[in-house]
Amino acid sequence: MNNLNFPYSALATVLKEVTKSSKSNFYREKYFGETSVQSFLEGDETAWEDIPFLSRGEIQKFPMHERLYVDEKDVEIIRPTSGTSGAGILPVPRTMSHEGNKLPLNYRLFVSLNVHRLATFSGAQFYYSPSFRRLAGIDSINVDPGDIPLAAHLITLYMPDMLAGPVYALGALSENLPTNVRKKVKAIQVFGEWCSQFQWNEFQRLFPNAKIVSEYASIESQTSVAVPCSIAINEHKQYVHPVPEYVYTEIINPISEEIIKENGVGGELVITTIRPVAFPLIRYRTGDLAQIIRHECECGITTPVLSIDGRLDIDRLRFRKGELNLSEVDRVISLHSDYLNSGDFEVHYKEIVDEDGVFKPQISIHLSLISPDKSTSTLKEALSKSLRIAPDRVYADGVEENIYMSLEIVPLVHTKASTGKKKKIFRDDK
Amino acid sequence: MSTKDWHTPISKEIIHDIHTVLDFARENTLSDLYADLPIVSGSQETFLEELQKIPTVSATELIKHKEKLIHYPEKDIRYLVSEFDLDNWKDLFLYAQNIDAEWDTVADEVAAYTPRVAIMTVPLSWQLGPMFYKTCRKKNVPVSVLSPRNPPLITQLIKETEAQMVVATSDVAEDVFNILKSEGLQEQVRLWHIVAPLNKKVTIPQLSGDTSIEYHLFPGIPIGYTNPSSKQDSLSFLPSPEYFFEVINDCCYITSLKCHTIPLIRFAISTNTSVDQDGHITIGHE
Repeated sequence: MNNLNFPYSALATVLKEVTKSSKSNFYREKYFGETSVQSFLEGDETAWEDIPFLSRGEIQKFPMHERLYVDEKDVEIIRPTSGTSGAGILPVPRTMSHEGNKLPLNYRLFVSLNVHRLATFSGAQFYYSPSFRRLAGIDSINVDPGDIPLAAHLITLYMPDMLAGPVYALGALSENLPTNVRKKVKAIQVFGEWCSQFQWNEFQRLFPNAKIVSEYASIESQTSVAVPCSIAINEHKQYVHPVPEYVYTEIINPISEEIIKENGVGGELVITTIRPVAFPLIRYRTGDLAQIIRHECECGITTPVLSIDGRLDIDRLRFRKGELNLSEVDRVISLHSDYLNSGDFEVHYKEIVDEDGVFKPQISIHLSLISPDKSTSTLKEALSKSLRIAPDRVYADGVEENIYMSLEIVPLVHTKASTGKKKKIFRDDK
Repeated sequence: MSTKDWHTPISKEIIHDIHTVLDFARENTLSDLYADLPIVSGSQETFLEELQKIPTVSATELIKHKEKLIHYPEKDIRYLVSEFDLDNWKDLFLYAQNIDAEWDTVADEVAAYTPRVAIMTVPLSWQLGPMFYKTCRKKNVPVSVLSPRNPPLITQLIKETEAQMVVATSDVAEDVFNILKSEGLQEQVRLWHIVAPLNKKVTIPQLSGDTSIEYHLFPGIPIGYTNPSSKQDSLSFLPSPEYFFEVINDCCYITSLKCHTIPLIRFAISTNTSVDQDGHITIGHE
């Protein structure tokens, strides 16, 4: 491996552990007949790239209690993935025994900002609240992303100086909070999904005194994966460093599975957990898009600066006052099949600055039109009025309110869907 | 059922505990909420009479002290909410609880049932997660805390983790149970712990496995409990040993027997109360 940062001994330790462990057969079964693992353990660094990738589906096939690499009594919590992808949930066991008296890495920044009250949408608040309190003096409450008006009311009572949550929930929340509550907020931690520049600007406008920080983690990873540094965060809000003590990251072409080492080339993020966790992930395909921005950073962290660019397969777009699902686009397009050669489509999303300097979402739907000249304007209006973005709203409502750009209809030239899907959403504003 | 007045039997220990709580409340330099409490002296014979000179307090009066409660300056606290029905925003306040507080009934149940995994699914805004986690962690039982909004997901997690204990509200427990039953897994959960609001009529769910019902004054403040082995055919409960109960003219008042962060002193919890000969309390609902 021509890579100075390649943590051979840490990876060899993890591999040795999972292949020798008496606790679970998961990796022994997975690697049965694989010579790459043995070669790697014998010192051949180049064999790493031949070790098979791990998918979520493979993990799901193994009962949770049979894929534990810690004693069952050391499992503290179990968090399920949402299951919204249709693939079913994945219960992820988690242990904190290795974390001891350490505050989660990202929270060290917040301690430096002298915050004391956190209101968080995180489903793991109950788990972290004792260590927040004990190690950082941060009290916390949990608010429910499913009931934003209530969350806003609780937050108004509680008067936190820090908020944490996914972009969509924080976005909806901010519109419901009084000015005095927003001004008190000194720190915001954003996680869970890609945040557009428009949304960053909105957060900063609505919370003028807040330092806004993003973190990349997932339920499956059982740990923080990547956090910003003081330099990268000033270049772009979503630039982060993989935490070298926690994970080893790779970026691969999702089709060819070749490793991408060049800067600026997007691919799928693959992670290997280095720190002890209840279920180690080895070359796990996250389904998230990432690219290397640069390999070195003046901050001193030895891992590259990455841009995490959202999901590989987006099935839902969330934007101001609405969200658009792939299934909804499919439903509406099927109503107009007379104009189309096929039901294939691409939805392209970006945010455009209008003449007043305001960011507005714009959606373009690329369709295989039988007669582009004749049908574009008809379809444009029909689709805009039919696409449901909330129970009581269609896309055209947002255009009329002057908060969205008009819907565009574009002839579908060729799908660039890397996974071969014929119906796909792209974010063009990254 | 008797409609006579009743109180928790008075013993030397009870008198000692109440004195300790009254002193704690009165002398708490961090809050003047109870600064005007009268001194209660007296022997075992006169204690009750003396105690009952302390004016009773209602939830409405506590709400007046909202600000003091929210900004209660004691360290090492976390907050609960004062309402089950969180749409009732007007009266909602945050209620401080010691950060080390545990859930005694859940601790007993976990010790008795030794579930492989315990799941709690009550509204996240109730803030019960930290207490549940702390209690189960002590017994090395892994937990999952989920929003009750998605019963199919809860059911799937129960199946996949082989969870045998579920803490839920009555309606969510029933929904989840029905899904389990439809898949032939009605015996999966061995214990259902139902969290029920004291001030609202609760339908006792029909579930396989044992069911305990715990009545809470606010979410996280248990007042009474029916243990899983008892027949769940009425809404009566055994009063919590953490409080001294008085029933006077059908009204029920409680006084903390432990130095809770915010002790309740002669706090009116309901009207229309009755007590049977075994000391089971029934709260009447409209």
